[in-house]
Amino acid sequence: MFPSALCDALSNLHNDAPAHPWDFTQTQVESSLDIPPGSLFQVFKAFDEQPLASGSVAQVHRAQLHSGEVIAAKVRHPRVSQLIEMDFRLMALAAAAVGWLPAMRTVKDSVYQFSHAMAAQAHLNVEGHHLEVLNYNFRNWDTVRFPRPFYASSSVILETFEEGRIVTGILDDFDSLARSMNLQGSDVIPVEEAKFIVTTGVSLYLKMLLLDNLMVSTIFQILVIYIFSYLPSLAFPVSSPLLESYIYRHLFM
Amino acid sequence: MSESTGREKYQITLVDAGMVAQLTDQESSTFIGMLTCIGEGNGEAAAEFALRFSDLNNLDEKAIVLFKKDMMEFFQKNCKGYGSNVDVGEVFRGILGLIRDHRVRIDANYATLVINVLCLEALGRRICPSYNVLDAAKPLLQTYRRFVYQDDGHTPKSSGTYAKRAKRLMPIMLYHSKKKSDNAFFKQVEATRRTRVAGGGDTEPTDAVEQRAHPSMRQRP
Repeated sequence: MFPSALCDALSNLHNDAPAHPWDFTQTQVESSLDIPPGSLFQVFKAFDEQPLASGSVAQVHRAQLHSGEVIAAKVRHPRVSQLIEMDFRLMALAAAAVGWLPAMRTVKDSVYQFSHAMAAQAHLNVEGHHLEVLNYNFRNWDTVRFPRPFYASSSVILETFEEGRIVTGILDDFDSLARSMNLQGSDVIPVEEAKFIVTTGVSLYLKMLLLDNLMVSTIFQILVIYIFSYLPSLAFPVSSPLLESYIYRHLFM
Repeated sequence: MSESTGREKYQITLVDAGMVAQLTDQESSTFIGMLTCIGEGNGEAAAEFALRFSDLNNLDEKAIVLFKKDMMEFFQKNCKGYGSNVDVGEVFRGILGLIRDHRVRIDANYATLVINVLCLEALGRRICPSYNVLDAAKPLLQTYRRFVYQDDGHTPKSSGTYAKRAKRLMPIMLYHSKKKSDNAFFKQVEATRRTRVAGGGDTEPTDAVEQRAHPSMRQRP
């Protein structure tokens, strides 16, 4: 169902999603925080012009407050909400058109069902809310973390910067180490680490399903592994692109 | 891999909450039902739960019978229940195939849940091929099924406040028992690995588990 070629193509798509220019980030953050244009560096001690990562909805910059605290700023790309809205108008139109054919009627329902999820994604304050809920749900779990948002508007989230490494990166390292010894990655990964990642992953999923009724949707294998980041080194928020949702729908409905 | 300065040696951080599925009680209990059916290798009941994956499903009697028959055949071949090393990923892929063939509808939240199982299973397989995700989840799934369904396993219980409170309090015990079985399992893994290293076989894979994992690992670029 998920050929590895497709996953690879999508993972590239993630990393290579075009970033918007720095000017836009600056004005967007300034207008969201309601500070005068050009005063960004009075509020922030540092603000990286180059984004750490760019998804199809937003990109993430690393910044530092005057207190010295390092934060992540997720800034929505220009015109994302209009584009999503237009996409859905078109899809709804197409769905209404094919809805005349009895066999295609289900398409119409699916489009409406999905539009809610997508619209929510276009507004970062919704994500901020989810982060708050997730932080609360997992407040007693020492081994599972989520970024803590401290500011969220429709177009900007400021959240704690999470140190770590993407789990796929770690596994790739073990794989290449293993290859040089003619072994498998799963043979060289320390048992303690393997145990931690696998058992925590399962517990996390079960908790979200059995207790919280709030499941982080992680659409592809690559993405779920992406978002399991891990100490030390670097982790960054990656937004789930619109395209994935389309493919996801295409595969499952 | 250096140690963190915090309390825990390792931590997992989920950095993207852009898309979440807010499940209703009904959605979560239906999915628990599906997972327990897979755990028990019960294809007929799994078919019942699959039909609940969307309120808009209106298959006629004949279509339902056919769908159940195919599901039962599939389960007989590929899913014999807890302890038989069920490949959950494979089972869900098969179920999704049947769902598509029989034009059963599935709502977005269920699709999300299924995809997450597939992801989790793939991650587990890559890190530790002999760890079975379904068997690990058994104690939790079984207990929760008793909370949400009557003895027949598929008629929903009307859950009062007492049941709800119990549902919240249970996990402490359940996670403890899961931790115990996980500890035992990984101790075994460690012991196996130690004997292999002691045997000087660290340049040639000899274990059956490795041989099985080999082709899929090769596919990765």
